[in-house]
Amino acid sequence: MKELEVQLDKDTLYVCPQRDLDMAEAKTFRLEVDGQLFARSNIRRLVVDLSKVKFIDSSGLGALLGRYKLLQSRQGEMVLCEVDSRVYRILELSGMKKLMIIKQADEQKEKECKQW
Amino acid sequence: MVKENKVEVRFSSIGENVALARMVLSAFLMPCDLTREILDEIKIALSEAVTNSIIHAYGEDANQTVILRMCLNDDILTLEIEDNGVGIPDIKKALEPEYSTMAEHMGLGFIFMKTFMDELEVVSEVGKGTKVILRRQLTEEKAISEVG
Ligand SMILES: Nc1ncnc2c1ncn2[C@@H]1O[C@H](COP(=O)(O)OP(=O)(O)OP(=O)(O)O)[C@@H](O)[C@H]1O
Ligand SMILES: [Mg+2]
Repeated sequence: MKELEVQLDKDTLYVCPQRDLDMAEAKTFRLEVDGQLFARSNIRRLVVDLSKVKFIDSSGLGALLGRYKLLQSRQGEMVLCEVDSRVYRILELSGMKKLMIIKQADEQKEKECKQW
Repeated sequence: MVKENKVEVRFSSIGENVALARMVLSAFLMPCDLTREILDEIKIALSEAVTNSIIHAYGEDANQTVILRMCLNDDILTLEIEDNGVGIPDIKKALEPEYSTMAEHMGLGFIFMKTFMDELEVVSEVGKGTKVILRRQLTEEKAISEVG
C-alpha cells in the first residue's frame, strides 16, 4: 500500500494521507509529521491535503489536533485543504473548524495543495 | 427488502481491521439504501467502538480478538462490539465528554456513538471485557397518520 506523501518547501510541510483517517492511518500520519517537525525546527506551516480522505473518526481528529498543537507551540499554523464535505461536517461537529484554516474541496479557488 | 439478517465477524485486534469492520458494515447495509450521511454516521459509531477495543481493551496487542455482531430486524440495526480486554472500571465516567485515559485522545468516541445512534449500551467488567451495543432505526419515524 502506498504510504503517506510528504513534501517540504522552505518552512512549509505538505502531507497527503492516502486513505481514510482512522487509527491506522492516524498513526502513520502522526509518526511522519512528528519526525519531520522534530528534524526541522524551521517548519512553521503544515498543509494537510485531505483529498483522499472520505472518512474521519476520533482517532483522525485526535491526530490532527495533536499536530495543530505542535505547530502552535512554534508559532506556526496548520491548513487543511481539499476537505470533502462529509469530513468537513465532522470537523465542524468536533469544534476543530474554529482552530484550523479549512478549505473545502469545492470552494477552493487558489490551489493551496501541492501537485503530487 | 431483507427483513431480518444477522452476521457475526471475528477479527484480530489490529488497526487495519477498523477499516475492514467498516467495509463489512457497508456491505451488510447495502440492501437498506441508506443515504451516505446516515451510512457515514453509523460507520463512525462502529469505528469508535472497534478502535476502543483495540486501543483501550487490548493495548494494541495484535493477538487478541474483537467480535462484531450485526443484526437487522425490520428497520432496526443493532451492532454489538465485544472484546475480552481490561474492561472499564467506571462506565459513567468513561461516557463523559472529553474523558480519556490516554494522551492524544480527545474523548470523543462515546460522544460520537451517542450522537449518531439512537441507543448506546455499555456492559463491562474489569478484567473480563466490554460489550458495546449500538442501535439505530434506519428509516425516518413514520409520519403521524392523517386519518383520524
Ligand atoms: N473497550 C474498552 N475497554 C476498556 N476501556 C475502554 C473501552 N472503550 C472505552 N474505554 C475507556 O473509556 C474512555 C473513553 O472512551 P472514548 O472512546 O470516549 O474516548 P477515547 O478513546 O479515550 O478518545 P477518542 O475516542 O477521542 O480517541 C477511554 O479513554 C478508555 O479509558
Ligand atoms: Mg475512543
